[in-house]
Amino acid sequence: MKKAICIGFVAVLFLSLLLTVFLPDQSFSEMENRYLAGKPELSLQAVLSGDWMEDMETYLADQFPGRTFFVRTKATLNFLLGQREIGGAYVGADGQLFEVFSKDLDAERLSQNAQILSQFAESQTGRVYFLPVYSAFTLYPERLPAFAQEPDERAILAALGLPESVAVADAYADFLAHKGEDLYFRTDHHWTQDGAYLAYRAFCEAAGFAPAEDLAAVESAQPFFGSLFSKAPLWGLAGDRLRLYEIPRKVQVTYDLERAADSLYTLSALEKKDQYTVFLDGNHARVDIETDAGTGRTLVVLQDSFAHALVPFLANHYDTIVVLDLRYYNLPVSDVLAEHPGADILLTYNLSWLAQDANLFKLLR
Amino acid sequence: MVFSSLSFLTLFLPLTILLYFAVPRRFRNLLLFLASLIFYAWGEPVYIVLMLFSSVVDYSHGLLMEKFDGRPGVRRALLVSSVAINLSLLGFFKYAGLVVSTLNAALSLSIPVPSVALPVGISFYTFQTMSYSIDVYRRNCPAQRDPIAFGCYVTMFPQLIAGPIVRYVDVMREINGRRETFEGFYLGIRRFLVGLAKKLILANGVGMLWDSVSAQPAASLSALSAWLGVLAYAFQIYFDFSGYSDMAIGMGRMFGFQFPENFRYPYVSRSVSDFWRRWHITLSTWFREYLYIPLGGNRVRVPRNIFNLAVVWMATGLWHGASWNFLLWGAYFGAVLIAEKFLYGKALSRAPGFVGWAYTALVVLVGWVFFALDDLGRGAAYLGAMFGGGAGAVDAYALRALLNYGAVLLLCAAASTPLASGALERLRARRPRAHSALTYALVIAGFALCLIYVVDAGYNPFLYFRF
Repeated sequence: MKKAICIGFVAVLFLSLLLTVFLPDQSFSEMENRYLAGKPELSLQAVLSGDWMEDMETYLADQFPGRTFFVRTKATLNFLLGQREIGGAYVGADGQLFEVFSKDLDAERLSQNAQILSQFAESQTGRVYFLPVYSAFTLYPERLPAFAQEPDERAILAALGLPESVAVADAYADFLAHKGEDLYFRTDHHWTQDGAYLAYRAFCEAAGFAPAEDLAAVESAQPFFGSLFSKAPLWGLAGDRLRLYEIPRKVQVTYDLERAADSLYTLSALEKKDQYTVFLDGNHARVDIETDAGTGRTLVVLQDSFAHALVPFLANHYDTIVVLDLRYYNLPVSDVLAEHPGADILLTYNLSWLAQDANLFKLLR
Repeated sequence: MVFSSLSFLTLFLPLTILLYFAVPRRFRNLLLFLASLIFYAWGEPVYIVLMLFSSVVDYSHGLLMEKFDGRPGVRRALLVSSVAINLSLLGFFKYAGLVVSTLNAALSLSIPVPSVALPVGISFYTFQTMSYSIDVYRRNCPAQRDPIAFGCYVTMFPQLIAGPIVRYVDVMREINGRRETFEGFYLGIRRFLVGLAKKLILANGVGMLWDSVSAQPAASLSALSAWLGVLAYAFQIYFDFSGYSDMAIGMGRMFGFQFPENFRYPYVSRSVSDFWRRWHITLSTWFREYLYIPLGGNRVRVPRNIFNLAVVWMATGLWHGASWNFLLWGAYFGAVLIAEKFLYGKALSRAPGFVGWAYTALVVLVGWVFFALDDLGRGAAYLGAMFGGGAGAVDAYALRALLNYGAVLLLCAAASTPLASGALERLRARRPRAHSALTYALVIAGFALCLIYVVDAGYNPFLYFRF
């Protein structure tokens, strides 16, 4: 037995090296949602600087045979040891995952952003709406692990001190009333389209529109393992089912002024890992949407990714919708607004992200 | 190269083992020597020259001492020369920055501070080579004539960068001729895996707690958070350091060496002197053999004995890092040990065991605060938070930390005692077959666990870069 352990020990280590080197490299990890390192190129310079050795370590770890198994097992062992904060996600009741924000948000950043929002809103001629997006933990604090601390998003909203001219479409009460439904994914930080629909109703109320009702929905065939699952990929977590509401409109969508599509949904995303990108094709700097709503109205949406699930509903009420993501959009916002004089403006942000967003200054350009 | 990395575990170690056992016995020292050079160059491609220089210096000094065997004056000069060269290397590469910046601060000068990166392991290998020269001088051992064998001793990769500090006399016989066996190799694997698991599961597991606590300003820490933080650090440094020693001893065993033990459950000590007989034993031994006893040790009058202890402990402190907090840390332990020796040691040994244990734990934990935080002001503020000067007694952060890390802390506490090894020993005595079946199962399970933890070891700090 001792002999067997001796030989087995060396053999397992050596074999994992051979498998790492001779099996074809994987370039992308779907589970971790990141690119994996490839074989480092050997050069005298890289060796002398030590870069080659460092790259080698990353390569060996990233291409280790069965890496996914090891990563998931380690996360699960840590969970079994009592850890409820794994890889930047809280593991809550019934395996629901929550994004971990520091409870102490940067107060200076928040007040800066509040000022930017007010300044922006006051300089507009069109109608300005603000639609706050709450995180799952604000609606389901009881599902957080014990003693978990998250920002108080109701307090963030109050701290924004938006001017009177801004119409706030706050769906908080409606969310509370529908708490029993799946308003958020359990493995992704976004809301579901059911959650987005409640926000849409709040927007309609603020804008004086009659919301579309009784929309048909389809469900994705594959379970959806979202961004929080990438952080805490525990064995035994059930994936989500992504529901998609059909929008009975003809649309013409242009992504980043380049690529055209005739749907608000990119259905091929349902076969991939990040199914949330089905909505408006995921993150884009700018999306231009033309619809056959025939209302003569135009909307400019300034948003983070939560709005992707919301905007499709708005196609019922606007002929033209321009969606900007200031994390990626670096041209002057004022130019876009000048293209569409008198357009309605919708600012919709997740409150915890908004409190720490470093891109908001681009609003004023 | 860090032992708990995949480059080491899947690339370097298996290749070295395969080659080592493939070559004829007479080439094995050479193979170990070359492998160790690659190992060192992996992390420090440039400073390898320094290590070779240090080896050449002590190799030649040893030979010369033997050549001038009948000339005490020459031998003495050679000893002084060897110690001076070794200490100058250490002084320049480790302490120049500290000395210059202190001078600048004290005399408001602006001498440019030399920015030399500390060569990894220099504190370990200079102490090893010095032990060789001193022991040859004292005629404790003959000089090593074979340069390969000597190089193999100095650079031997298992203990090169984090100890144990192996004196030449400890391994002389094995350097000159050793026997590797399957039994020894198996025991080596077992020991190696114990160390790897300590590092990957326990040390890295609690290390994140300390990182999180120490990243906060002391004023915002509750007392419970501060205690949990320093407890986490105490476990992190113990399991990291003793884990490294276990891995080194285990690998030595695989290649047929018996390295000296470095830790013996220090956290069960009932006095601070007891703690230092159990913590980093090879360093304390080194200072005793080559500094304390030459100064006269304790066979002198009390004031001189106190002076000797003070010198040894300040040197021990500074050995740990070129920063004033380490000197303070050493002086602190020196003062406690002097007090224990001359004031209350006897009373302590008569007190109930838990009193001694609690006293030792308190002294050691307070010491770790100064050890871990190299800014003295932060250290003082942190101590303040531990004793209620921060943000209250308990807060949600501390409770969350307790929830997330409670189990790992308990595991650490259990692994700090000889409970498990004692139980295994009793089983061996009563039911030897069950004992061997259980150890085999533990070895295999431990190996699997280590693989699981090492593949996703994004958090894998190396604590000895300053030593």
